[in-house]
Amino acid sequence: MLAWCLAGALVAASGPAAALTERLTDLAPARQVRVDLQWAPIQWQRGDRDPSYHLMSAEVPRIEYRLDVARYVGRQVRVLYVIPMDAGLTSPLGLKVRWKSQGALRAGEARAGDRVTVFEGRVAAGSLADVFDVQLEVDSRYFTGRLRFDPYFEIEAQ
Amino acid sequence: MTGLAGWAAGIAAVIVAGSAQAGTSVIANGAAEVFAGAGWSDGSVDTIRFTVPGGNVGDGSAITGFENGTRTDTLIDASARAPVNNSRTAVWSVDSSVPLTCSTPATCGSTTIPLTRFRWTVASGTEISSGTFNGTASQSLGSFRNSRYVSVTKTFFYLNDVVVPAGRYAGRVVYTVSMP
Repeated sequence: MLAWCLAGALVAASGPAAALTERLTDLAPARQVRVDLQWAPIQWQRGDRDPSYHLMSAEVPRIEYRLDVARYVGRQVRVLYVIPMDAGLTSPLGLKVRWKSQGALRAGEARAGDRVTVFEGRVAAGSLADVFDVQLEVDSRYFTGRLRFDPYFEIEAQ
Repeated sequence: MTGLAGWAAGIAAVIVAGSAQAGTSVIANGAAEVFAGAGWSDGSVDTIRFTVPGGNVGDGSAITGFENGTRTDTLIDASARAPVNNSRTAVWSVDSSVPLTCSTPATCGSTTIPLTRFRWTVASGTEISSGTFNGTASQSLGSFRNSRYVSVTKTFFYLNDVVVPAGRYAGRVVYTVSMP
Protein backbone atom coordinates (compact mmCIF):
# COMPACT_ATOMS: atom_id res chain seq x y z
CA MET A 1 0.00 0.00 0.00
CA LEU A 2 2.82 2.34 0.91
CA ALA A 3 4.72 1.53 -2.33
CA TRP A 4 1.61 2.22 -4.43
CA CYS A 5 1.25 5.67 -2.90
CA LEU A 6 4.86 6.60 -3.65
CA ALA A 7 4.51 5.52 -7.27
CA GLY A 8 1.43 7.70 -7.65
CA ALA A 9 3.29 10.73 -6.36
CA LEU A 10 6.16 10.20 -8.80
CA VAL A 11 3.79 10.01 -11.76
CA ALA A 12 2.13 13.29 -10.77
CA ALA A 13 5.46 15.08 -10.44
CA SER A 14 6.57 14.04 -13.91
CA GLY A 15 3.28 15.06 -15.65
CA PRO A 16 2.91 17.68 -18.45
CA ALA A 17 4.97 20.84 -17.98
CA ALA A 18 3.05 24.01 -16.97
CA ALA A 19 2.34 26.47 -19.79
CA LEU A 20 4.79 29.37 -20.03
CA THR A 21 3.19 32.78 -19.72
CA GLU A 22 4.81 35.82 -21.27
CA ARG A 23 3.74 39.39 -21.88
CA LEU A 24 3.50 40.17 -25.58
CA THR A 25 4.99 43.20 -27.29
CA ASP A 26 2.52 45.33 -29.19
CA LEU A 27 4.07 46.63 -32.40
CA ALA A 28 1.20 48.98 -33.27
CA PRO A 29 1.89 52.73 -33.09
CA ALA A 30 1.73 54.04 -29.55
CA ARG A 31 -0.90 56.58 -28.61
CA GLN A 32 -2.71 57.99 -25.64
CA VAL A 33 -6.37 58.91 -25.64
CA ARG A 34 -8.17 61.09 -23.12
CA VAL A 35 -11.91 60.64 -22.79
CA ASP A 36 -14.62 62.12 -20.63
CA LEU A 37 -17.02 59.59 -19.23
CA GLN A 38 -20.66 60.27 -20.00
CA TRP A 39 -23.45 59.47 -17.58
CA ALA A 40 -25.68 56.61 -18.57
CA PRO A 41 -29.20 57.69 -19.48
CA ILE A 42 -31.73 56.88 -16.81
CA GLN A 43 -35.42 57.20 -16.15
CA TRP A 44 -35.36 60.21 -13.84
CA GLN A 45 -38.39 59.24 -11.86
CA ARG A 46 -36.75 55.95 -10.92
CA GLY A 47 -33.89 58.03 -9.58
CA ASP A 48 -31.10 56.10 -7.89
CA ARG A 49 -33.21 52.93 -8.12
CA ASP A 50 -32.42 52.86 -11.82
CA PRO A 51 -29.69 50.21 -12.34
CA SER A 52 -27.73 52.66 -14.47
CA TYR A 53 -27.85 55.56 -12.00
CA HIS A 54 -24.20 55.23 -10.94
CA LEU A 55 -22.81 54.25 -14.34
CA MET A 56 -20.70 56.31 -16.72
CA SER A 57 -19.29 55.14 -20.01
CA ALA A 58 -16.94 56.11 -22.79
CA GLU A 59 -16.33 54.71 -26.25
CA VAL A 60 -12.77 54.27 -27.43
CA PRO A 61 -12.94 53.30 -31.08
CA ARG A 62 -10.28 51.69 -33.23
CA ILE A 63 -7.57 50.63 -30.86
CA GLU A 64 -5.07 48.88 -33.08
CA TYR A 65 -3.08 45.89 -31.85
CA ARG A 66 -0.23 44.15 -33.67
CA LEU A 67 1.14 41.50 -31.37
CA ASP A 68 4.62 40.13 -31.89
CA VAL A 69 4.24 36.34 -31.82
CA ALA A 70 7.16 35.52 -34.14
CA ARG A 71 8.76 33.29 -31.53
CA TYR A 72 5.64 31.15 -31.38
CA VAL A 73 5.01 30.42 -35.08
CA GLY A 74 3.82 26.85 -35.47
CA ARG A 75 3.10 26.42 -31.77
CA GLN A 76 -0.19 25.93 -29.98
CA VAL A 77 -0.87 29.00 -27.83
CA ARG A 78 -3.47 30.87 -25.87
CA VAL A 79 -3.49 34.70 -25.96
CA LEU A 80 -5.09 36.59 -23.10
CA TYR A 81 -6.32 40.18 -22.89
CA VAL A 82 -5.33 41.52 -19.48
CA ILE A 83 -7.25 44.38 -17.85
CA PRO A 84 -5.12 45.64 -14.96
CA MET A 85 -6.73 46.80 -11.76
CA ASP A 86 -6.05 50.55 -11.78
CA ALA A 87 -5.44 52.81 -8.79
CA GLY A 88 -8.43 54.87 -9.92
CA LEU A 89 -10.72 52.07 -8.86
CA THR A 90 -11.55 50.87 -5.38
CA SER A 91 -12.99 47.57 -6.57
CA PRO A 92 -12.95 45.42 -9.72
CA LEU A 93 -16.67 46.22 -9.84
CA GLY A 94 -15.70 49.75 -10.80
CA LEU A 95 -14.81 48.93 -14.40
CA LYS A 96 -16.41 46.76 -17.04
CA VAL A 97 -14.79 46.64 -20.47
CA ARG A 98 -16.52 45.44 -23.61
CA TRP A 99 -14.74 45.15 -26.91
CA LYS A 100 -15.60 44.25 -30.47
CA SER A 101 -12.90 42.86 -32.73
CA GLN A 102 -12.45 42.77 -36.45
CA GLY A 103 -9.63 40.29 -37.01
CA ALA A 104 -7.94 37.32 -35.43
CA LEU A 105 -8.93 38.03 -31.84
CA ARG A 106 -12.23 37.35 -30.10
CA ALA A 107 -14.69 39.95 -28.88
CA GLY A 108 -15.57 39.85 -25.21
CA GLU A 109 -16.02 41.62 -21.93
CA ALA A 110 -14.14 41.74 -18.66
CA ARG A 111 -13.82 43.52 -15.37
CA ALA A 112 -10.71 45.13 -13.93
CA GLY A 113 -8.24 42.46 -12.93
CA ASP A 114 -9.52 39.89 -15.41
CA ARG A 115 -7.50 37.92 -17.99
CA VAL A 116 -9.69 36.86 -20.90
CA THR A 117 -8.75 34.47 -23.68
CA VAL A 118 -8.96 36.17 -27.06
CA PHE A 119 -7.08 33.62 -29.18
CA GLU A 120 -6.51 29.92 -28.92
CA GLY A 121 -4.81 27.88 -31.62
CA ARG A 122 -1.66 27.41 -33.66
CA VAL A 123 0.26 30.56 -34.55
CA ALA A 124 0.47 30.88 -38.33
CA ALA A 125 2.40 34.14 -38.77
CA GLY A 126 4.76 36.42 -36.94
CA SER A 127 2.11 38.85 -35.77
CA LEU A 128 -1.48 38.73 -34.56
CA ALA A 129 -3.30 41.88 -35.64
CA ASP A 130 -6.70 43.27 -34.82
CA VAL A 131 -8.59 46.50 -34.18
CA PHE A 132 -10.77 46.78 -31.08
CA ASP A 133 -13.71 49.08 -30.51
CA VAL A 134 -13.77 49.41 -26.73
CA GLN A 135 -16.48 50.58 -24.38
CA LEU A 136 -15.53 51.44 -20.83
CA GLU A 137 -18.27 51.36 -18.22
CA VAL A 138 -17.37 52.85 -14.85
CA ASP A 139 -19.40 52.55 -11.67
CA SER A 140 -19.03 55.79 -9.70
CA ARG A 141 -19.40 53.93 -6.41
CA TYR A 142 -15.97 52.39 -6.99
CA PHE A 143 -14.23 55.24 -8.79
CA THR A 144 -11.82 57.84 -7.46
CA GLY A 145 -12.33 60.27 -10.33
CA ARG A 146 -9.59 59.35 -12.78
CA LEU A 147 -8.88 56.05 -14.47
CA ARG A 148 -5.97 54.84 -16.52
CA PHE A 149 -6.98 52.01 -18.84
CA ASP A 150 -3.82 50.31 -20.02
CA PRO A 151 -4.54 46.74 -21.12
CA TYR A 152 -1.97 44.36 -22.50
CA PHE A 153 -1.71 40.82 -23.85
CA GLU A 154 -0.13 37.67 -22.49
CA ILE A 155 0.62 34.43 -24.27
CA GLU A 156 0.64 30.93 -22.90
CA ALA A 157 2.49 28.32 -24.97
CA GLN A 158 2.58 24.59 -24.39
CA MET B 1 -52.20 80.14 -11.12
CA THR B 2 -48.52 79.48 -11.26
CA GLY B 3 -46.32 77.32 -13.43
CA LEU B 4 -43.38 75.23 -12.32
CA ALA B 5 -40.28 74.68 -14.38
CA GLY B 6 -37.45 72.17 -14.12
CA TRP B 7 -33.82 72.78 -14.88
CA ALA B 8 -30.93 70.49 -15.61
CA ALA B 9 -27.30 70.90 -16.57
CA GLY B 10 -25.58 68.75 -19.18
CA ILE B 11 -22.03 67.54 -19.53
CA ALA B 12 -19.49 68.07 -22.24
CA ALA B 13 -17.15 65.60 -23.87
CA VAL B 14 -13.59 66.27 -24.90
CA ILE B 15 -11.30 63.85 -26.66
CA VAL B 16 -7.65 64.72 -27.08
CA ALA B 17 -5.12 62.51 -28.79
CA GLY B 18 -1.43 62.55 -27.96
CA SER B 19 1.53 60.20 -27.88
CA ALA B 20 2.75 57.86 -25.20
CA GLN B 21 4.38 54.53 -24.52
CA ALA B 22 3.81 51.39 -26.53
CA GLY B 23 0.19 50.36 -26.95
CA THR B 24 -2.85 52.47 -26.39
CA SER B 25 -3.63 53.84 -22.98
CA VAL B 26 -6.82 55.65 -22.12
CA ILE B 27 -7.25 58.27 -19.42
CA ALA B 28 -10.87 58.66 -18.39
CA ASN B 29 -12.62 61.02 -16.03
CA GLY B 30 -16.06 62.56 -15.84
CA ALA B 31 -18.07 65.67 -15.10
CA ALA B 32 -20.98 66.09 -12.73
CA GLU B 33 -24.60 66.07 -13.78
CA VAL B 34 -27.49 67.61 -11.87
CA PHE B 35 -31.22 67.49 -12.38
CA ALA B 36 -34.14 69.35 -10.88
CA GLY B 37 -37.72 68.56 -11.67
CA ALA B 38 -41.10 69.98 -10.75
CA GLY B 39 -44.36 68.30 -11.65
CA TRP B 40 -45.24 64.82 -12.74
CA SER B 41 -44.73 65.42 -16.46
CA ASP B 42 -41.31 65.13 -18.03
CA GLY B 43 -40.24 67.66 -20.59
CA SER B 44 -43.00 70.18 -20.00
CA VAL B 45 -43.84 72.99 -17.61
CA ASP B 46 -46.59 71.80 -15.30
CA THR B 47 -49.31 74.20 -14.16
CA ILE B 48 -50.78 74.53 -10.70
CA ARG B 49 -54.19 76.16 -10.87
CA PHE B 50 -55.90 78.00 -7.98
CA THR B 51 -59.51 78.99 -8.39
CA VAL B 52 -60.92 81.49 -5.91
CA PRO B 53 -64.73 81.49 -5.64
CA GLY B 54 -66.20 84.93 -6.17
CA GLY B 55 -67.59 85.09 -2.65
CA ASN B 56 -64.26 84.27 -1.03
CA VAL B 57 -61.89 86.75 -2.62
CA GLY B 58 -59.45 87.99 -0.01
CA ASP B 59 -61.23 86.38 2.95
CA GLY B 60 -58.19 84.42 4.10
CA SER B 61 -59.54 81.00 3.20
CA ALA B 62 -56.57 79.17 1.69
CA ILE B 63 -57.14 77.92 -1.83
CA THR B 64 -55.64 74.53 -2.75
CA GLY B 65 -53.81 74.27 -6.06
CA PHE B 66 -54.42 71.50 -8.56
CA GLU B 67 -51.60 70.36 -10.82
CA ASN B 68 -52.81 70.37 -14.40
CA GLY B 69 -56.28 70.70 -12.93
CA THR B 70 -56.40 67.19 -11.48
CA ARG B 71 -54.23 66.42 -8.45
CA THR B 72 -53.18 68.31 -5.35
CA ASP B 73 -49.79 66.64 -4.83
CA THR B 74 -46.94 67.79 -7.04
CA LEU B 75 -43.65 65.95 -7.40
CA ILE B 76 -40.55 68.04 -6.68
CA ASP B 77 -37.41 66.00 -7.31
CA ALA B 78 -33.68 66.39 -7.75
CA SER B 79 -30.55 64.42 -8.41
CA ALA B 80 -26.83 65.08 -8.44
CA ARG B 81 -24.43 62.63 -10.05
CA ALA B 82 -20.70 63.13 -9.58
CA PRO B 83 -17.93 60.78 -10.67
CA VAL B 84 -16.86 60.12 -7.11
CA ASN B 85 -19.64 58.74 -4.98
CA ASN B 86 -20.78 60.81 -1.98
CA SER B 87 -18.03 63.39 -2.45
CA ARG B 88 -19.93 66.66 -2.99
CA THR B 89 -22.96 68.53 -1.71
CA ALA B 90 -25.79 69.64 -3.96
CA VAL B 91 -27.89 72.69 -3.10
CA TRP B 92 -31.57 72.83 -3.92
CA SER B 93 -33.27 76.21 -4.33
CA VAL B 94 -36.26 77.92 -5.85
CA ASP B 95 -36.70 81.27 -7.60
CA SER B 96 -39.97 83.00 -6.73
CA SER B 97 -38.81 86.53 -7.43
CA VAL B 98 -41.19 87.33 -10.29
CA PRO B 99 -44.78 87.96 -9.17
CA LEU B 100 -47.86 86.70 -10.94
CA THR B 101 -49.09 89.20 -13.49
CA CYS B 102 -52.57 89.87 -14.75
CA SER B 103 -53.33 88.17 -18.04
CA THR B 104 -56.86 89.61 -18.39
CA PRO B 105 -56.12 93.35 -18.39
CA ALA B 106 -59.74 94.29 -18.95
CA THR B 107 -60.52 93.28 -15.38
CA CYS B 108 -57.26 93.29 -13.43
CA GLY B 109 -55.12 95.77 -15.37
CA SER B 110 -51.51 95.77 -14.18
CA THR B 111 -52.16 94.19 -10.80
CA THR B 112 -49.59 91.66 -9.65
CA ILE B 113 -49.64 89.05 -6.91
CA PRO B 114 -46.31 88.31 -5.23
CA LEU B 115 -45.40 84.67 -4.86
CA THR B 116 -45.02 85.29 -1.15
CA ARG B 117 -48.80 84.80 -1.08
CA PHE B 118 -48.28 81.09 -1.78
CA ARG B 119 -47.17 78.34 0.60
CA TRP B 120 -46.80 74.60 0.47
CA THR B 121 -47.10 71.56 2.68
CA VAL B 122 -45.11 68.39 2.17
CA ALA B 123 -47.19 65.25 1.78
CA SER B 124 -44.33 62.78 1.40
CA GLY B 125 -40.56 62.96 1.59
CA THR B 126 -38.27 64.60 4.12
CA GLU B 127 -35.79 66.52 2.03
CA ILE B 128 -37.83 69.73 1.97
CA SER B 129 -39.90 71.16 4.81
CA SER B 130 -43.24 72.88 4.53
CA GLY B 131 -42.86 76.58 3.87
CA THR B 132 -43.76 79.74 2.01
CA PHE B 133 -42.13 81.26 -1.05
CA ASN B 134 -39.99 84.19 0.10
CA GLY B 135 -40.02 86.13 -3.17
CA THR B 136 -36.28 85.92 -3.78
CA ALA B 137 -34.31 84.53 -6.70
CA SER B 138 -32.61 81.84 -4.65
CA GLN B 139 -34.57 80.56 -1.69
CA SER B 140 -32.71 77.62 -0.23
CA LEU B 141 -34.78 74.48 0.17
CA GLY B 142 -32.08 72.16 1.43
CA SER B 143 -28.98 70.27 0.43
CA PHE B 144 -27.98 66.68 -0.09
CA ARG B 145 -24.89 64.62 -0.88
CA ASN B 146 -24.28 63.59 -4.45
CA SER B 147 -25.08 60.22 -6.02
CA ARG B 148 -28.58 60.43 -4.66
CA TYR B 149 -32.02 61.09 -6.05
CA VAL B 150 -34.30 62.98 -3.68
CA SER B 151 -37.96 63.83 -3.96
CA VAL B 152 -40.94 65.20 -2.09
CA THR B 153 -44.55 65.78 -3.01
CA LYS B 154 -45.93 69.21 -2.24
CA THR B 155 -49.41 70.62 -2.03
CA PHE B 156 -49.54 74.33 -2.86
CA PHE B 157 -51.90 76.89 -1.38
CA TYR B 158 -52.81 80.46 -2.27
CA LEU B 159 -53.17 82.41 0.97
CA ASN B 160 -56.06 84.50 -0.42
CA ASP B 161 -55.64 87.11 2.28
CA VAL B 162 -55.60 90.18 0.05
CA VAL B 163 -58.41 91.45 -2.15
CA VAL B 164 -57.32 91.66 -5.77
CA PRO B 165 -59.34 92.55 -8.86
CA ALA B 166 -61.12 89.67 -10.56
CA GLY B 167 -59.21 88.11 -13.44
CA ARG B 168 -56.61 85.57 -14.39
CA TYR B 169 -53.07 85.84 -13.05
CA ALA B 170 -50.07 83.78 -14.13
CA GLY B 171 -46.50 83.35 -12.99
CA ARG B 172 -43.71 80.84 -12.63
CA VAL B 173 -41.36 79.49 -10.03
CA VAL B 174 -38.15 77.72 -11.02
CA TYR B 175 -36.48 74.97 -9.03
CA THR B 176 -32.70 74.63 -9.37
CA VAL B 177 -30.05 72.23 -8.19
CA SER B 178 -26.41 73.27 -8.18
CA MET B 179 -23.34 71.40 -7.03
CA PRO B 180 -20.39 73.71 -6.32
